This record gives sequence, structure tokens and C-alpha cells, in this order.
Amino acid sequence: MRESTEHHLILYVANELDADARAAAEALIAADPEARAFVDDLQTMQQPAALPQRVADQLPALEARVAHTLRTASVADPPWRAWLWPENTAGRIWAMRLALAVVLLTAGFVLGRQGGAPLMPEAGVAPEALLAQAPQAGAGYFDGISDIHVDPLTGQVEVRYQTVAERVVRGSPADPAITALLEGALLDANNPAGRLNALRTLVSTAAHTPAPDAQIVDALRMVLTEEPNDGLRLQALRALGLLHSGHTFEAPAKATVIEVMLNDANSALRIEALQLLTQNAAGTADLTPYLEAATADTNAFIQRSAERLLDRLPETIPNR
Amino acid sequence: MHTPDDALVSAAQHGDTRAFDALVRQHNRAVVHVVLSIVGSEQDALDVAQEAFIRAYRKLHTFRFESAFVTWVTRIAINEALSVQKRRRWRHRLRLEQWQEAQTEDTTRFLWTAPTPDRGMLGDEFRRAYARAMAALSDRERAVFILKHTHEYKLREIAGLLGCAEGTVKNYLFRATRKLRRALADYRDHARVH
Repeated sequence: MRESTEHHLILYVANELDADARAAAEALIAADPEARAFVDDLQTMQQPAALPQRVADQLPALEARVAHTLRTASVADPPWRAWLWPENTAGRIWAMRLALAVVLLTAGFVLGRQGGAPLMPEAGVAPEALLAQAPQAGAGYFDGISDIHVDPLTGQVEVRYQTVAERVVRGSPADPAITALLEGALLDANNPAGRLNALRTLVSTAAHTPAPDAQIVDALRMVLTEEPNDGLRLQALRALGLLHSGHTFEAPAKATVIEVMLNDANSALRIEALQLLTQNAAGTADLTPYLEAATADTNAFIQRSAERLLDRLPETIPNR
Repeated sequence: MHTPDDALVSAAQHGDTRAFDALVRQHNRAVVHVVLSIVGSEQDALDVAQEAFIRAYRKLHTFRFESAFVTWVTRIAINEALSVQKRRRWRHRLRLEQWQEAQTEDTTRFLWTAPTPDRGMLGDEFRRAYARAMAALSDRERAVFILKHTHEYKLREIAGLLGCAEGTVKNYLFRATRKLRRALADYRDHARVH
């Protein structure tokens, strides 16, 4: 069955079609046994999961806890709170900047009177000192990646990121600080441009990376699993493949690529995953069941590619 | 848009905590149910729902009656549930498969208790396979599938709840359906034979 037909029938079962499209789906189901079987499958999967009784039994306690909190704690915001801690993110960032500026000015004033060292780094500070300030995931105030730039001649990567002010880190793609920032950019759910930029950087610098970094591979796997944008998932697949040039996939990375090849809704991604797997693990017998599954893909190109690849495997598999 | 909750919401906005108690009583089941499908663990679901109601009370002055109260509070609860899941990953820095294993355990416990169509001898086995397949979905794929098929939200409403485009929600639904169908292929064939 074609992919567009599958999607049409999924929306039919989800009751999301207008009258004309619904009538077309019903005509198809009446005429085509394969479509009928597909719809039966979908209806089987719609499990009406009721709330478990033991959870339902705890709802009165939940009500009581909420009521107790509302009455005992100062839940409602006091009027001055909106000034000190605004509702919106931009306002909060400014509040934090203001608070930090006050702290720094106060500390600078005190240290200045004591003849202490200046608080702010001087211009031309050594890159090592900046690298040491690279953000650790989840620690300190870190407001996202603002830009990533690759020097095509040297392969050096420059990452600009925001804390209370903009910072810059330069280094090779394998540098731990650069790796940590790229990983942070890949996992930043609120910054799709940052994710795209990090993926492009990984694709363009893969040749300068001696071995795939485990954290980056995990972040790429996370992108492949969670990323809603097909274009970014495609870039993630390519980055994963390029980072593994000359290296075999570890089991988790291989499992993720297999998952994409078999289950991704986008056929371009399934094709890319199939090609990636066969380049990386060509001739390995353990791909056989997945290639066999791929021969039943809705996409004719994937079917033919999987069949051709299976035909090349008999030398390594006695049973075929 | 006017709903039966509007009077209670207005009263709660003017500081009537009893009115808010009534809103909690009316909608906690739906909110906990949605959250449970995302976080898997029953205790976490109750904690997240509690936090969502308290947060809703705190932000009640921003509620503009442009949607139903239950939709608004569900959106707060879903965001809280998704960020709880994300914080978990960051905090523990678990490898994906370990995390998924932990999810399977929790989500499976919830889904095993769900009533399923009678499949005779195959019932328990099918339920377990179904629970495992659901747990293997990403948080958003699972949330979309359950919001659609269990809670019967329209895709447009789910897009509003998750804060993304309707096309993205469709994509999640296609991916979730495809993954579930493939994971349950063996059991489906058995079910047809029986």
C-alpha cells in the first residue's frame, strides 16, 4: 500500500477527514482487502486505556493536597513578584541580568576597595580560560547557542553562546568544550536553528573527527527519536553516518538507525537509514531480518534495495 | 466561548478557593489520565497533576476564557509532564536504552491495567506487547496517540495542547501508528487466526 494511502486511512480511523475524503476512504476499504485489513489493525490498536482504579482512588487525596496548598502557602503571586520575577522568559532574563549586574558591581566595589584582582577577564584572555568556562549541561546559567561557525581551511569550530553575556569558544571538533556545546545545541528543544547549525557543523567537520564521541552519538540518537522536523532528522542521520566513516556502529546507534529504517513515517529517512546501515555494516548477517522486513516497505525503492542487498548476502549466511 | 466552568473560574479569579476546589474535583481525573500517559509512573502523574493545578491557580489571572478551563489546565499539565521527562533525562544522563527500560517498567504497569478487547488466551500476552510498544514510542508520539485515541481530542486541539503545528501532530500520529503496527504484527496475525 502506498504511504499516502496509509496516512489517509490513519486519518480516517482517527476521524479527522472531511465528508468527501471520508467517503473516498470508505470506498477504498470496501474495494481493497489490504486497506480493509489495515483499518482493522488500526482499530485493534486503539486501546481505550481507562484510568487505573488505584490511581482513581487517590484523586480525593490529590484534591485535598491542592486545597491544603492553596490555603496554607502563599500560592498566589504577591503584587511585587511580577516586578522582580516577570511571567515571560525575556522579562526573566532581564531580571537575572539586572540581579547579576548588581552583584558584580557590589563585589567589584568591595574588591576594588581591598585592592583585589579585577572580576572581569581582560581583553585577549587566553582561549584555555574561555574553554574552562564552557557550560556543563544543567549547571549554571546558560541561555543557548547563538552561532556556530566552521573555518573551512583549518576545520576549527567557533561556538558563540549566551550566558549573561555572549561568550565564544574556538577549538577542534573533537575538543571537549566544543563537543559539550554541540551536544547542548542538539538537545536544546527550544532552538531549532541551533539544532540545525550543530547538525551542519557535525556534517562538515566529520572528516576532522578521529572517532565518534559517545555523547554526540547519544544526542544524535535523541534527535532521531524526538525531533519533529524531518529535515533535521535527515541531517542527524547523515551526521551519524559521517562520524562513523571507518568505524562500525555501536549497538545502540545501530538499533536507532534500524528503527528509523523500519518505522519512520518519512520514506526519504527510511531510504537514508537503509543506505547508511548497508554502508556501515555491509555483509553482516545480523542485518538479514531487518532487510527482510524492509522488503515489505510501502516504498518500492526501499523494497528493491532491500531485495538486492539480501541477494548479496548468501555468501555470509549458510541458510540462504 | 462559554462553558459551565466560567462562573467557577471567575469566582476563583476573585480569590474564592472553594470555587477552585470545585474545578479541581471536576477535572482532576482527566488531567491525571493525560499526564499518566506521558510520564508512565502513577506517583509522578499525581505529583505532576498537583503541580499543574497549583500552577494554574497561580496563573489564573492570565486566563482569558478563550478556551475551556479544562483545556487550559491540561496544556499546563502536559508541559509540566514533558519537562519532567526532559529533566529526568538530563539529571540522570542515562543512556537512551536504560531510560527506555525504566519507562517500559513504569508505563507497562499502567497499561497492563487497561481494559483491552477480549482476545482469549492471547489477551495477556497482547497487552504486554502493546504496553512495551507504547513505552518504546517517544514521549510526544505516545502523548499524541493517547490524546487522539483515548481522550478523543481533535488533531487541531492536540496541536494547541502541545504547542506545535497541526502538521507536526499528524507526523507524530503517523510515526506512532506505524511503530505500533509493526511491533504488534505477530500478535495481530495470531489474533486473526484465533
